[in-house]
Amino acid sequence: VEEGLQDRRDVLAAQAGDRRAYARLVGRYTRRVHDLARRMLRDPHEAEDVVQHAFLNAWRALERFEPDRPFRNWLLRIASNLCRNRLAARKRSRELPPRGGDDPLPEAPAPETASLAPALVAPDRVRAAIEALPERYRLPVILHYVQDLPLKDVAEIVDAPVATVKTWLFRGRAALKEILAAPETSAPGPGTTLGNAP
Amino acid sequence: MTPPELPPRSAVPDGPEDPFEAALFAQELLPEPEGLAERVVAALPRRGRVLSLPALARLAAAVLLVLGTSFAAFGTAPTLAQAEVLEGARDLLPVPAVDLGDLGLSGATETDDVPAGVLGAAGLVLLGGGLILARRLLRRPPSSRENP
Repeated sequence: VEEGLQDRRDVLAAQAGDRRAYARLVGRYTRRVHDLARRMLRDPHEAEDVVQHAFLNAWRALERFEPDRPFRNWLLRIASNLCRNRLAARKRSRELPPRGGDDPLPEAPAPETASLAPALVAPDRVRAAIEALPERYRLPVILHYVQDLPLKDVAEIVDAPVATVKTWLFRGRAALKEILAAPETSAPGPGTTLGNAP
Repeated sequence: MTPPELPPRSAVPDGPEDPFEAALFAQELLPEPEGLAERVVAALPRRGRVLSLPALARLAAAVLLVLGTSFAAFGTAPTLAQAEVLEGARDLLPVPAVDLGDLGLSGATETDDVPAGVLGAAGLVLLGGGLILARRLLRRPPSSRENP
């Protein structure tokens, strides 16, 4: 609630041309936007680019933004759409999705059993498995589990009903379990295990 | 591969009831590159009391259309009664007095010191520019999902 009030104050000031107020919003949400872009794109340079463009687009469209709506959701929607556009462009150009760039994913041993007790699943393996999810499931999984956003906010960001988000999360969890139970030492590229989401 | 069979929606939990979800919720936000927020702020374009580029373009289009229409109207069909107006209009456009005969505009009904043909031609050019600019401004930008 407090964050929402601060956002509203800063948005109103930024709409009046106060760059320092917008800088506070940037400082508050850079890490969140970067995390989303980094996990969606799996490329640190592209993620940085998305952060720049997301805040730039938000700054340009700020006059049209309704301050009573949550700025965080609006910003994350802009960022997720930028990520989707880049993923679609990659698909069109048939580029192979880059792995980690200068921040390679660590390799961890596969679990010996398929029970996947949480204590046995290394955080890095979970991270790699999330990044290997098909795009449609990856975005809600990141927003809900990693960024800890409530289902209502995730639904607003991905522009889908809450029931659909729950379905995607269920399918995402099932896909994650399948990826983590696989014997490979590293997670496959996005969409390669389970194909594209329906 | 077929997706796993869905349970009824009412059976899908909202919270971390599944122990597997605990491992997911334990994920922490990745650290952002150092100085990223500062670089983002530094790259923001200036926005203040001066006119923005689109507003400036709209103003330019309007000025071009008004001036162009006026110049073209006066320049292409001037009468002696309009000579004073033409004098005033010519002051707005830094066009030197030209012998219209040299320009092949002998058909223009110019007065002695008002280059009506030149004014009319300049008016048409301005009008054309204004129309082109206005058309570009009125054309809808390509749909962008970035700005919901």
